[in-house]
Amino acid sequence: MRIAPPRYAFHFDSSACAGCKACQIACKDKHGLEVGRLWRRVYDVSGGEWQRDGEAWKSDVFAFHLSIGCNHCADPICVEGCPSRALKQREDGIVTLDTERCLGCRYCEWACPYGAPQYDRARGVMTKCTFCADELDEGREPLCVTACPLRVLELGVGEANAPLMEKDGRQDPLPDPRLTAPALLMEEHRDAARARKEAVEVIPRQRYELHEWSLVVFTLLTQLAAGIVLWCLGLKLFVGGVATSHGPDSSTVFAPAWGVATVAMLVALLTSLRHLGSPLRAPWALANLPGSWLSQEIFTALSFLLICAIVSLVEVSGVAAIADDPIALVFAGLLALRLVLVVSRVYRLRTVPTWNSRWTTTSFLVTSLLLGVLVITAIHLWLGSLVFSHGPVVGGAMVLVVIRQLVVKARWRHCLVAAPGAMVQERSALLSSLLSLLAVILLGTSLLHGQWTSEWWLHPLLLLPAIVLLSRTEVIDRHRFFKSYVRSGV
Amino acid sequence: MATDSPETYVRTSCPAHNCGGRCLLKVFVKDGIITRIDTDDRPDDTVADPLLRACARGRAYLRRQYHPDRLTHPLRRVGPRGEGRFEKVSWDEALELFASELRRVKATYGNGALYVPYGTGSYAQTTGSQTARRLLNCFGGCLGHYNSYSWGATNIVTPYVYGTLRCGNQRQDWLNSSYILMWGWNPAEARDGSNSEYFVKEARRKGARVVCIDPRMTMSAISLADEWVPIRPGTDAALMTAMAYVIVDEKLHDADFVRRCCVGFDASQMPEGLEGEESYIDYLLGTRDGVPKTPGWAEAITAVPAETIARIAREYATTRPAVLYQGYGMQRRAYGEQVVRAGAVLAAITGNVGVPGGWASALASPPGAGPFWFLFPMGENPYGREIPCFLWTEAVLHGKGMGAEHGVLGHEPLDSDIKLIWAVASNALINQHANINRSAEILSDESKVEFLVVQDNFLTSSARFADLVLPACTQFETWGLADGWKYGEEVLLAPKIVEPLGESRSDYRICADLAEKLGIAEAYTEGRDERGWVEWLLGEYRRKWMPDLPTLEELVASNQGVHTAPVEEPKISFAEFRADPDERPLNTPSGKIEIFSQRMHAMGRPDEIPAVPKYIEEWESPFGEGAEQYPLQAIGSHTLHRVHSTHDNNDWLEEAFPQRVHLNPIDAKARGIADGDEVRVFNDRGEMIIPCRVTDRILPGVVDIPSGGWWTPDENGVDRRGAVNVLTSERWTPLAFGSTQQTIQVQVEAVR
Repeated sequence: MRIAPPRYAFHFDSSACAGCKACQIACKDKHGLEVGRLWRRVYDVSGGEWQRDGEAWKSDVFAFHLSIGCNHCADPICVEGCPSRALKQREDGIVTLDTERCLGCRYCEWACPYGAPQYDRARGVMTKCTFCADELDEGREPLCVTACPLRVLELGVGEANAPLMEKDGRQDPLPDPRLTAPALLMEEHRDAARARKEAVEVIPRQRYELHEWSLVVFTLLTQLAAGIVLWCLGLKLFVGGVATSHGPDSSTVFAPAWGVATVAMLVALLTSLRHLGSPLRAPWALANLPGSWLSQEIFTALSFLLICAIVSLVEVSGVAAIADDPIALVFAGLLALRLVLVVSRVYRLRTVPTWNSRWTTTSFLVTSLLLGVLVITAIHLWLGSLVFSHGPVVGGAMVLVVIRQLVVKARWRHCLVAAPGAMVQERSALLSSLLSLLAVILLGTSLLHGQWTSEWWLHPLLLLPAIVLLSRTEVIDRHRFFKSYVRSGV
Repeated sequence: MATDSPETYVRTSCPAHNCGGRCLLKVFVKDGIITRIDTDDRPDDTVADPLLRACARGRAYLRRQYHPDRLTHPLRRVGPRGEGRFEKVSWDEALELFASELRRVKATYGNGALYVPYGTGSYAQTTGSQTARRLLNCFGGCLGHYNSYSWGATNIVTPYVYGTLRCGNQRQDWLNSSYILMWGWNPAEARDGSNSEYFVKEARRKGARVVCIDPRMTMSAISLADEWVPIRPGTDAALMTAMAYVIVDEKLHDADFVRRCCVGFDASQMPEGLEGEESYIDYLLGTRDGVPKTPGWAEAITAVPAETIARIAREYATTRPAVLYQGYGMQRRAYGEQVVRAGAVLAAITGNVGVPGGWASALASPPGAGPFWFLFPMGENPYGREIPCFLWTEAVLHGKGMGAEHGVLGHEPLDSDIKLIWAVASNALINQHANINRSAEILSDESKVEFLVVQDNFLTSSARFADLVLPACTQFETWGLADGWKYGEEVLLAPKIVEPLGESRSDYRICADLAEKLGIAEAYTEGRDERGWVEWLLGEYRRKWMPDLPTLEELVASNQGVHTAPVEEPKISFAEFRADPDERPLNTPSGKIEIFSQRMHAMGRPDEIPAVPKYIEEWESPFGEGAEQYPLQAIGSHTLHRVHSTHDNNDWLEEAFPQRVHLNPIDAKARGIADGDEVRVFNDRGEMIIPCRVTDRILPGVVDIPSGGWWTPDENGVDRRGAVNVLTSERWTPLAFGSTQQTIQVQVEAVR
C-alpha cells in the first residue's frame, strides 16, 4: 500500500538514552496498560567482559538502550498476516488495531520483530501502540515523545516513504529493516557497532507464550488427515484393489480412512478455537483471503473437512460407494497437499528465521505421510486386512521414519544457523531419536516376518507399539518445533 | 455520580518526595477521580528555561494514588508492637489518645522526650514533618535534629573548606565546560535537579568530554559519558589523592590560584604556629608517612589501572574549565568527610573555582537565595537542643546526658531519652535508618519509646511499629507549594485536585485538629487553612526570591502550575572571591579555601579527622579483617523505582525496575549463581533473600541492592524484599555524625 505523506516516524537517539523508562510509563498511563503490557519497551543491551590486571580491574563492558514502540512499518508484517483484518494501516502510515474485530490469535505477536503487539489477557485481544493517533490528530505529539527527560525521542514527520532505516543498514539487536521497513530513524550509541560483532544480552528477553498445545493438536491432526487421504490416493493409484486370499478387498480400508480423516479435521478445527483469545469471533479468521496465510489455512482446512465429511456421509448413508472413487480421491488429495503446504506457510514468517525454511514444509509433509500411513496401518489391523498391502504400507512407514529423522535433523541444523546461540538441544531430541529407532526395529521385524511367514497374529504385537512410539515422537518433535521459535529482532 | 462530566486538567507540582527534582505534572480529572498524568507541556523548551519533564515515578503516580493499600482511616495497635495488627478507630478517638499521650509524656519526661524524626516522604511546605514540628514547638518544644541522611558528611564538611554550601554555579554554566567528571554522580537515574542530565547532555553536545567514575555502569555512564571508570566503593579519596599527586608532580596545577586563594597546599602557606605540620604536598609525596600517593599506590586500593588514573588526572587538569561533580553516595560512608574535601581540593588546585565552566565540587548548592526547602514557619523551638538526625536511636537508648560528644547542639546535654516519636512522612524509623534489625528491636521495647505515631499514606515498614497510625492524604488531595529541589529557578503550585481518599487528611489538617485537642489551635493555625498558608508562603517567596511571582489567584486562574526565572547568564560561585580574595574573603578562619583546616587540626583526632584530606581505609572494607568472612562490598544505589522507600509498592515501577541484587558474573560464577536465582545476602547484622541480576555493569567484588525496598521479614526474620538496611551499620562519620550506610561488607550465596 502506498503511504501518503505526512508520514510519521519515531526519531530515537540511542546514543544519549538513559533507559529511564519515562516513555514506557507515560505510555502505560496514557493507555491504561496493566503490568505485563508494554506498548513501548525500553531494552537494555549489554556486552563485554572483565579482566584482572594486577591489582586493577579492566573492562570493555558496554551497554546502551533502545526505546521501541510500534514502528508503524511501511511493510507491516502484522497487517499482512492478520486473518481478521483487525490490523490496518492508515494513509499516514499509522498501523491501527481494531480490538472489536481481533480474534486474539496472537499471530501478529509472533510475526512482529519489534515485539510491538501486546496481548490483553482480560479482553482476549491483541493491542498495540497507536502512535497516540488521537493526540496527533489534535496536533499534539505522542506521550512517549513528550515524556523524554533527555529529549532523545522525537516525532519525525514527513519522512520518506522508503524504509527509514535502510540508509543506516542493520542496527543490532534490532532486526534487518528490510524485513518490515520500520518508520524508525535512529542515531546509534557509540557501542552499537560492537553489538553487531559481539554477543549481547538484551533485557527484557524475547518473551511470548506459544500456548502451543492446541496448535500441536491442530497441526498434527490436519497433517494426519491429509496424510490419510494422500495414502488412500497412493494405494488406489499404485497398489490398486488387488485382493488376496488373506483378507478382504483393499477398498474396505478406504471408507474408515475417510471417517478418521473427517473426525481428525473436526477435532483439529475445534481445538484450534482453544488457541483464540476471543473464540466467538472465529469466523473473522476468514476475513483476509487471500492475503493472510492464516486465513488461507482455515479456509483450506474447512474445505478439506467438507469434502471428507461429504464422502464419509455418502458412504455411511449407503447412497453410493465413493470411498475409493478416483475422482474424489484425486480432488481430496490435492486439497490435502495444499493444506499441508498452507499450514507450513503460516509458520514460514520472514521474521522468524528458525521457522522460515523449506525444512518446515518438508517436515510437515513427511509428518503428514507418516501419520497417514500409521492410521492406514491401524485400520488394516482393525479390519484384519493388513496382508494385502503389507509391503507398501509397513515398508513405506519404515522409509518415512528414516526420512523423517533426516528432515528433523536438517531442520535443527537450519535453526542452529538461523539463530546461533538461541537454540538449546533438549533431552526430548534424544528421546525422539530413540523412539524412532525402536519403531524402525519393530516395523522391520514385521516386514521381514511378513515376507516369510503367515503368522499374521504376530503383526499387531509389533505394529501397534510402533504406531504408539511414532505418534509420541511426532508430538515430541512438534513441541520442539514450536519451541524453536526465535524471531529476528527484540 | 455523574459520568458525563467533562475531563479537566490541572497543572501541578509533582508530589514532593525528595526525589532530587521538582517537575510539572498535568493531572487529568473526571468525576473527582484522577484519570491520567501528563507532564510539562509548555510550548517552548530552552536551556535557559527547560521543560520540567517528570520521570517514571511521577508518570506512574496513578498507581500510588489509587493503590488498594492506601490508608483510609486511623488505626490503633492491637497485639505486640511491630507485629502489624491494628484496629480501626475514629479520628476523634485517635486524636484524643494522641493528645493525652503528648500531655502525659511531656508531664513525665519534659518536652525533650518528644521527637519528630527525619523523613522526607513529603515536603511541599504545608505537607510533611515540618507541620508537626510547628505543632510541637507551639506545645512547648521538642528534641530537634539537624543535618540529613542524604548529605550528612558534605553538609558539615563543605563549609570547612569553602565557608559555605553555595559552591556551585547555576547549571546552565555546564555548557561552558570542556570536561565533566561525573564522580559517583548519576543524574540520569538519581536526578539531582530536574534536567541536570539534560544539561550534561547538552554540554557534551557542545564538545565537553564527560567521564563517569562509579562502581556501577549507571544510566548516566551509558547515556552521558564518553568513558566509564569503574572504581571500588569507598576508595574515591585515594583516586582523588593520586590524581592530585600526578597533577602536582607534573606541575599541571594552577600555582597562581593556589598561592592567592588557598591555604595548606605546601609548607609556604601553613597557618601561623602550625608551620611544621603536614601540608597537602607532604601528604601527597609521603614525606611524613613514607608513602608517596602515586597512581600505583591508588591502583591497589581503587582497582583503577594506574595509567587510567594518570590520564584522567592530566585530562582534568589540562582540559579547563572542568567540572568535578561529586555524587552523594560516596560521602554516606565511613570517612565521608574525606572524599568531599579531596574533591574540593582537586577543583581548587586546578583553578576550577570561581570560573565559568568550572566547578568547586563539594556540596555545590547554587548561588542565590533559593531554593527554599522549609519556608513553612516551624517557629522557635523552646527546648532548643538538636541531635544529628542520624543518631536518633542513640537518643532513644541513652539520650539523657547525651551532649556534644554525640554532636548535640544546644547549651546543655539532653535531659531525657526519646519517649514519644511522631513520624510524619517518614519511613526512617525502620526502613531507611541503618541496621533495621537493631531499630526493630529498639522500637519493639515499649519501655523505651512509650508512644509511637506514624502518619503516612501507607502502612510502611515503619508504620507497622506504630501504636497509632494516622492516614495522611496525598499531595493531589491538599494544597502545597514547591520549588526546584537543589537547583532550579521555579516555584510550583500544588493545588488540591481531588478530595482526600476515605478519611485521610492532610498533614496540616491533622496537626490543626490535634492542636484543637491540645488547646493551641489559634497559635498553630493563625487562622489559616492549607490554601491560606500557600497564599502566605507565596508572599514569602515573593519577598525573598522572586518579586514577580504571581498571586495565588493568578496562579490558579492561569493553571500554569509553575512560575520560572529563566537563566540566560548563569551565576558563578566564588567569582568575586577569585578576583580579589583579600577583599572578598571566604567565611573560613583563613578567609581562603582551606586545604589544611586549622579547626580540624585542633580536634586532635588526625587518624579520623586529618587536617588535610586523606584516604582512610574504612572500618569495614575488602582490605580489613572481616573481609574473609564478608568479602563483597555492598552498596544501595538510588533507583528510579523509588524515591527512597516511596513507590516501592508501585507495580508499574516494579515492572520497569524489578528489585534485584546486582552482582558481577565473576562473583556469580564463583558462587554457582545464575541470573535470576534467589540468593542470600548477609552479614552479622542481617540477611535477605531476593532474586539476583547477574550483570557486567558492576565492578567485580561489589553487589548493589537498590535502596528503599520495604523490609519484609519472613518467619525467620529474613528480609524477602531487599531492604538494604538490614545489612547497614548505625555507626556515624567522625566529624559530621553523618550516615555511613554505604559502607557494608557482605557475603552472597546461592539459595539451594
